[in-house]
Amino acid sequence: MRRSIAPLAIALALLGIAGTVYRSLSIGYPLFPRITERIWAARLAVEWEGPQAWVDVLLPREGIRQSILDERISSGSLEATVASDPGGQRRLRWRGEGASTASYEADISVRLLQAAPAPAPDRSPWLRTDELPGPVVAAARRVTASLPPGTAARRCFELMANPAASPLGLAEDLGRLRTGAGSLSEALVVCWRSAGLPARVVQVLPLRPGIYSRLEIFPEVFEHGRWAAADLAGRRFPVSTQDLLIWTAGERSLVETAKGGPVKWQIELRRRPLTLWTEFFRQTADRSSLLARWSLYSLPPNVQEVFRILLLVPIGALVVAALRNVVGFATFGTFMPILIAIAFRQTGLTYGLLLFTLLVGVGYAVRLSIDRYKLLLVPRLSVILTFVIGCLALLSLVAHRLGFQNVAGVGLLPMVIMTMTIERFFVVAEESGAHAALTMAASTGAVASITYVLISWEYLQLLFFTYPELLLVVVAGQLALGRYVGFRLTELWRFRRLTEGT
Amino acid sequence: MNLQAVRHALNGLGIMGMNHRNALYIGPLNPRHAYPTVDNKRLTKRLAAEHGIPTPELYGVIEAHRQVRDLPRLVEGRPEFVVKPCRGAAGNGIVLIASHDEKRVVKPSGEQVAWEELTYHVATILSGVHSLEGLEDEALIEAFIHVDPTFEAVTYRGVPDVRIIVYRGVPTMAMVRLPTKRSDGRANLHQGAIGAGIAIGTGTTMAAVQGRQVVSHHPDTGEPVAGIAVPHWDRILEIAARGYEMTGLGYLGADVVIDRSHGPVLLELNARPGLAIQLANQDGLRHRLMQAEAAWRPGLGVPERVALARSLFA
Repeated sequence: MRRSIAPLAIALALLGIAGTVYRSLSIGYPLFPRITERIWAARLAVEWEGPQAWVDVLLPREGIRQSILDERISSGSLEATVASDPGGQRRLRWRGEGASTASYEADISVRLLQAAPAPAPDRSPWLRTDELPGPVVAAARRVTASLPPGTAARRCFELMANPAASPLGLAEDLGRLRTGAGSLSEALVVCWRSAGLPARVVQVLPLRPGIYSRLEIFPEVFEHGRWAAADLAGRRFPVSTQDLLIWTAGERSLVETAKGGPVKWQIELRRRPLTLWTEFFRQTADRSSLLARWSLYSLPPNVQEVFRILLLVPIGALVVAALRNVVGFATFGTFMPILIAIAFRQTGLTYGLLLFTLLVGVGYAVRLSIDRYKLLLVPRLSVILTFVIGCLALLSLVAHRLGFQNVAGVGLLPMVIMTMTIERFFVVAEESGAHAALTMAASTGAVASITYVLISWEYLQLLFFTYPELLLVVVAGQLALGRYVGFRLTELWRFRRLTEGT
Repeated sequence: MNLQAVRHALNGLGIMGMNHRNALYIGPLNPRHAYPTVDNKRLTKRLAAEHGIPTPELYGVIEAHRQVRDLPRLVEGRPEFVVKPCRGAAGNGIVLIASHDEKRVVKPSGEQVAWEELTYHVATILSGVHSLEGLEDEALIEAFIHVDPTFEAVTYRGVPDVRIIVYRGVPTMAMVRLPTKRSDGRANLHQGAIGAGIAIGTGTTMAAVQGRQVVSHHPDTGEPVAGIAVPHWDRILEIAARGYEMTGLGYLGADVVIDRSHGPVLLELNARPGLAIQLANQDGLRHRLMQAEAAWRPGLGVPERVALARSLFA
């Protein structure tokens, strides 16, 4: 009567696994890819007013922790040249007339793991003190002369970070040093150099996606074979540069022009998780294997981005099915949680959940207030939709004023889906009470969060993207689940009282 | 709570879960094309009449907005009537009227409303406000059901209804749903009505639950809810059993109400009946369904199936 599903499920699972193993063996794809670095795309756009004979920008550094994979310069009608100074700092110069905008783009790979200390390069430029006025340098010498050797790096930092605690005899020299050096960071650098330690300032960006129009400045000292950065504002030394992108070293400003004058620039930082994999595919693409040529890596990058997520949606569906049929979560709509999870990818989990709660709350209030008018279904949904979008516009404005990011992503939250959720929430609240509706909303949120975490798992994305045949294994799981006739966990709870007599 | 022990105990009692019901009963036994006959109350009524099953008397149907103003004429000489959406779910949109004159109608609670308000309500039914899919609907104007004296002592407003699970025409489990104050006079377990299991063999009520709580007395009237002999029991079983031939649904829930003067009438049929009936009966459906399945033979007539049910589930 009920044909067994096991043979089909097992066959599909085996087929999927076989395809994966074959692809892995024949083409040499790694089965357990390790993510050891992240790729960031940085785009520097410069805009100036009036004609300029030249415009210089400093290019990002390469070092033990970061390297540049690819660079693109768009100069329009300008002529671009790249020069490197003796310290290794590269400089891009645009020359010519006509255009007053230009941009530079780089893919920068940042290693996640701690790299071994680099072989000592020439650090003599970082010991020079001759660019500063003599009295300042002399003051710095007097300050550092009093410091016990071996602790000079930390003591210098403490003197600069905490001016109130300066020792009696040094107050005058420290004051001269601070006022004479231009900035506190520079004073600290001079202090370090006077103590015989190579020191510099670095201009950095936080490794977070966003648009920046200012570089942060961190003084650094070379000690025990590596650079250690100081955070003067936060009074911490040494601080980790793990989540920083070091753009340049030295105090020079990022953009300089021949005549000076107003220059606007901004750097947009984006994560490019798949770039490494694209590289990897290029290495294997020349293999004659059919599977290698028919890989998803051969799709255009923007399509790849879409499939990276899409391929995980079936797993999301499997999870939703399991949570509904095995655990017994009651959710609004069957696949509503998946759609909400995809929307969360635009907003982030915390913010997304907050928004979900807020929108359902506002929508419910609207629905409640228009209930007495007994509107037809579609116009009624339209009213809710309009209010939801209006509320969102207001929220974006407020968030923008308060300086929150992520707000731009909000628009992509599927509004219509939210509207339907609100309507279902209302119907359930009417029929089975507010408690049931809230439980349902909470489990929808929970299922969406679980699904979100799963589809955001980068390793899983890469695995399914590289081995799409693993979807067969997912189908096998779905088939098996389709024949689960046991109790749901919530039913054990629902009927538990019946077992008390036995 | 030891989950494994609970699972084991529930299996021992033959309790049926949602997955089991969907995969082994609703899926294989209820053909999709049979659903409209139970989702549309007007269609259910017509089919019931063809099969000799009584339903509440239909005074009229309002199909289009222009007919709405005919409502007063439709109920002329009938002081009591019920307005219900044809495709409504969970009792939504149902309005009871106890009496009326030229100007106003009076609800059973004594509340008086203007005719315009009632005709407006009918108009909202037509536009699909109370049908779950939001599709355009029709409004049925039906006879008012009067509570049978047997149940008067254990009913708060409303009318109790008898729910019977029918496996291929064999009644397998039954309960009566008693409205309470908490359920606001509705016979809906989710909303707080009492569910009292009925022994199919004898037609008397046994244990009862409100929510998950076992109750022995009606919370509002204080009368005991166990040991009530349901009147017309054989006829009720027969109506439920006929639902199989009528709809072709192999697994259905029949809702029957007992009118004081007309006896049992079929209120509606349900293609996806819930599982709470097991709580009301303190018994599992799985064992009973397997017993019914083992005893079932093709060609069994209605009386034979009723007799079978009474002997199996005495």
